[in-house]
Amino acid sequence: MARPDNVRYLATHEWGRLEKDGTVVVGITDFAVEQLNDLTFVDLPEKGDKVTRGEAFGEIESVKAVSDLISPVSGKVVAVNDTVSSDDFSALKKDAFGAGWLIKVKPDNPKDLDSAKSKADYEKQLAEEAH
Amino acid sequence: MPFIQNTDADRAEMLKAIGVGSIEELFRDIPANLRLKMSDAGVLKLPPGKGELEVTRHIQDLLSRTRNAGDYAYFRGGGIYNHFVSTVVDHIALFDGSFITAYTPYQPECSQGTLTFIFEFQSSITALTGLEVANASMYDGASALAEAMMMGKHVSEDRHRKENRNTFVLAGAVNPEYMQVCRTYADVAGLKVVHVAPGPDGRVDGDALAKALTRKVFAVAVQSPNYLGIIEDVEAVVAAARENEILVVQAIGEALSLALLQTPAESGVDVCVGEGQSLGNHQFLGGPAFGFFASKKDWLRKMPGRIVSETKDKDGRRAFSLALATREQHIRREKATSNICTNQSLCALRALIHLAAWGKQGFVELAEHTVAKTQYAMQKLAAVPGVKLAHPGVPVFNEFVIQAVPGLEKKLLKKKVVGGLPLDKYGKGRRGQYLVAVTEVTTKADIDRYAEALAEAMKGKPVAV
Amino acid sequence: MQYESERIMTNTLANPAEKLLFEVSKTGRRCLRLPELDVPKVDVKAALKGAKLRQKPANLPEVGELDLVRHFKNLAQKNFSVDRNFYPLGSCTMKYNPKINVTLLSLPGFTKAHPHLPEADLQGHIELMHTLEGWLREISGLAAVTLQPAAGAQGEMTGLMVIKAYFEEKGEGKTRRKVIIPDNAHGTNPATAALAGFETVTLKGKADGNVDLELLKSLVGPDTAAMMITNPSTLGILEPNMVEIARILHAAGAQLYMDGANMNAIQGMVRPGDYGVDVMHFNLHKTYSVPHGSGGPGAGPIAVAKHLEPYLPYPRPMKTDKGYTLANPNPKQTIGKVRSFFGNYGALVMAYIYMSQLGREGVRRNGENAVLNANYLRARLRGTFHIQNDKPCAHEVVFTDAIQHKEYGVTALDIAKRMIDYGIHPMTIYFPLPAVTGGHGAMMVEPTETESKETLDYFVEVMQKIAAECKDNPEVVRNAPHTTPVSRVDEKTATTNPQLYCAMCIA
Repeated sequence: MARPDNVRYLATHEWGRLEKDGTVVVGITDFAVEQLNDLTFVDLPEKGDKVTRGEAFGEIESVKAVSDLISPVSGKVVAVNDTVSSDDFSALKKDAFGAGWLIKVKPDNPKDLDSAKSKADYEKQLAEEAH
Repeated sequence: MPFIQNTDADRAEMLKAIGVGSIEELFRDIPANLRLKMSDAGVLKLPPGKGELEVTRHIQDLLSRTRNAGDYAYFRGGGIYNHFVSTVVDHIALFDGSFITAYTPYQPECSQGTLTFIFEFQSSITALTGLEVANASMYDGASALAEAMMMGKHVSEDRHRKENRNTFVLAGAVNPEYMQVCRTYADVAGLKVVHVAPGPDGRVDGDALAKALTRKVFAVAVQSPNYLGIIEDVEAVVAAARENEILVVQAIGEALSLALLQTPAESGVDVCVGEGQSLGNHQFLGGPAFGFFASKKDWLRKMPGRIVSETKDKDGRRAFSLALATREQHIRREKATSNICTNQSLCALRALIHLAAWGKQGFVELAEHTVAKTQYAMQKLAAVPGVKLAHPGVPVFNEFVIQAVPGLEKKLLKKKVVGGLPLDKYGKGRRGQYLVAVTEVTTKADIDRYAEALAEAMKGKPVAV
Repeated sequence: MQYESERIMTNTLANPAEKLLFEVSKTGRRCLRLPELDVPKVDVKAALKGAKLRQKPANLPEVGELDLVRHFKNLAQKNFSVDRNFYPLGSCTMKYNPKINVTLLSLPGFTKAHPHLPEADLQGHIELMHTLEGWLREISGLAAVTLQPAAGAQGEMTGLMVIKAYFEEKGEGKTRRKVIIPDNAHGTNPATAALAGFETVTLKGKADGNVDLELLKSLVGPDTAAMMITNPSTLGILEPNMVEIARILHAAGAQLYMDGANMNAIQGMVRPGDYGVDVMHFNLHKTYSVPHGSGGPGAGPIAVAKHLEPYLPYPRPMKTDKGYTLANPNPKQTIGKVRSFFGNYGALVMAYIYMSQLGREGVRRNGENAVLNANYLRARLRGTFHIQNDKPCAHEVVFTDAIQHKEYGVTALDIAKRMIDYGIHPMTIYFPLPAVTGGHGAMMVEPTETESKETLDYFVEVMQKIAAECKDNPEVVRNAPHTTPVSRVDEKTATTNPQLYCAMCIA
């Protein structure tokens, strides 16, 4: 899958995209989906909850692993992807950067995203990890 | 050396393959000054090893300095009960190495035996409690209740996100061992444990409980039958907890009571835990047996312990495997809601065999038989001059409390009777009270002997008030 | 493939479609019957007046004794067990469990020992516990022992509770919030620390598996309560700097907890107390032959240094002039109880019987031979499988799937499953976690001291054969096992769509 250029990436394999309306859409990368393999459950925050940059906003589980979901921005959750939150992962597997988004956040400071990685840097990280 | 099959020749060959001159060299990372020397007899002050014959004699010698429930007319319970255990149970669980020498069934393809019996065990607990989710067992009833407390805290963290509820309420006469274990766990977890003492009739004090069940409480536990043998109105506790969305836990000390009494599911509790020793497990001074843990399915993902599920193999055949492993410590590590990593599989197996050996009808008859004997014992003992029931008119299952006078034990022992457990230390106003337990093992002759010995011991004593 | 087909014969197990007890149940069948009622019959509803009764009997299976026995004997054949199979499951110490353990345990003196018997009737039992405590004190080199914890994980919990109580009494309870845990620790360590109310700090290990002393120094401070260390480590390696580690912690006023899961390797060779360890737990089901029982019961006694003794749980077996007694000598300081009564006494009895047979020399020889056997496998399989740290190991050796995965796309899981076809229980896989083993799938092999050289040689032969299969016929490995009553089990459906009871149990 070609990774989009218009999103920012975290080393922990989340991504964030600034929308025109000023909200930030957050998801996990295709690489994370592939690594987690057999996804079973996800625990996402509720609308209205606060999230903090660099801290966990939820968890995602496969049969024998559990990972924190790290937020790239601080702010308030304004939408949650209902399909994914009801543990239906088909969209996430097919389209991690589109229909498989997780939450939408109204950021306290949209500049939070700037400190995240560009696509080139993220892919460089993946290449290094694979050594 | 006992149990070691390597010969000196084997060892020499193996050392050569490894490329070292001596076994000692393999331990070079232990500082030389700390390494114990084999030649220094006395460095490790352990006795020399004994052969099987000698050990058998030694154990028999130790046991000659003990007596057991079988040596007496025996009337003590209080959490562990002198039940009959079928020979079938020991033959399968103790003497056949297939289950006892296997490990946790992490590799399902070569552990279907264990996985199947755990699934059947879970099904039996579901049959008994009516609750949809039973785990593969816990250490004992006491720690199962402590785990239910911890689970209640985690459930509340989800349900009442911003309330930070921190209090656990123990309602009425709960086994003191269970209360102590809950307090020990609560201490380090920073939880507050509040005990609402039973009312004068030995049951939960409804008014006091209602006052205690504030929005600071995340869970409440009630034992039924309670520590005094009395059957509680669990439904009333559920009703009292409803308004403030408090998780209700029922603890059970005598699992046989499940044969007759309203099920935890019928009462509406969220979680039921208990001691399973009564089900096919020997007394062993209190362990090992097992704790059972069952819950409404709403709380499945917060449940502690191992869980087995039915599933299929890749060719579509029925198979069983561990499920929901991400709840557990080996995956969730510091975020796990429990650190438990074993279950008491073998004891759960014993319970399954026991329950199937009695069967649907037999298990009910066993309970009814016990009730009849308990009723007889109550009448006989209450008829002894100077003795009366401490809580007349309340329903009991197989234990009850008599009011006599303190210090009767030695006199009873002379008549080969171990009478009820003295409750002097259990609470205020319990001086001279004894908790009497009856099982199917108790005979009419035992009960008559107890009544007779009690009558004699009471002669000339002041009448109980 | 001669070898294999022979194995298939012994591994062709019972009919996989075999029914559950609930499914063969038939109204009116039973095994047991009650003695004749020798007291007046009662009307149960009347006798329990005021209590609510269940609406209908629990739907337990009804079977005859022959079918009951046959059901479990069939299930028995679907299990690998130490009695039948080599079981080199790393970190679990699957040694032989002598038959005398269960034979003596089934004497009525044990089976009918009720915990509320008068103390005078328990003298032999209290003596047994008191003696066993003494032996564990001696082996640990520490001042006091409690036998109460029901399992290793509960031992850890008890140990941390004791440490917490100690700091609270010193007035440092609020400041000492952190427990340092190496990244290769068993999951129980961080889980226990968190449940005991501590914050966990992960200590990244060095490439050679040892503790990074400089990093440790940078993490230890006035907020440190303890470090939990497993020695030998979960990588099967003896930590060479234990004394220095203890010194670093003590200099900061903190405690050193040793997870004794791997005690089998060093028993009789070094006493953890001599290293400076303050608390440790024993897994009697690993080191002292209490059978694992398909997952329990075990026993997890802890040993503590003198300054921590007052905080141990009660009751404690004591010897007095008048005989043995169960006492609570420090009612104000004890943490209380972690389990009802005296712990898993039946398990303690088995450990006692076993240790009586070992004696001083036996304890030492067990450790030596456990370490010898593991190193022999390391030497023999060098080159066939990648060895995570190719230097003398303790009682277990960690291989990885690095070669097979990279070259042939075969994983540790596949290799483990293929072992089943050869009648060997898989080793522990994916522990230590891939993060600790360079991303490769760990294969942790612990042969134990009770296996013969011939069995080890057979294991080597099987592993070499599987390595060859990974190259020549990887599909046979990827689709293994082939000889079990079920093929690879769908563990995902078990988790996403759990079915936790037989529908008939609530029919």
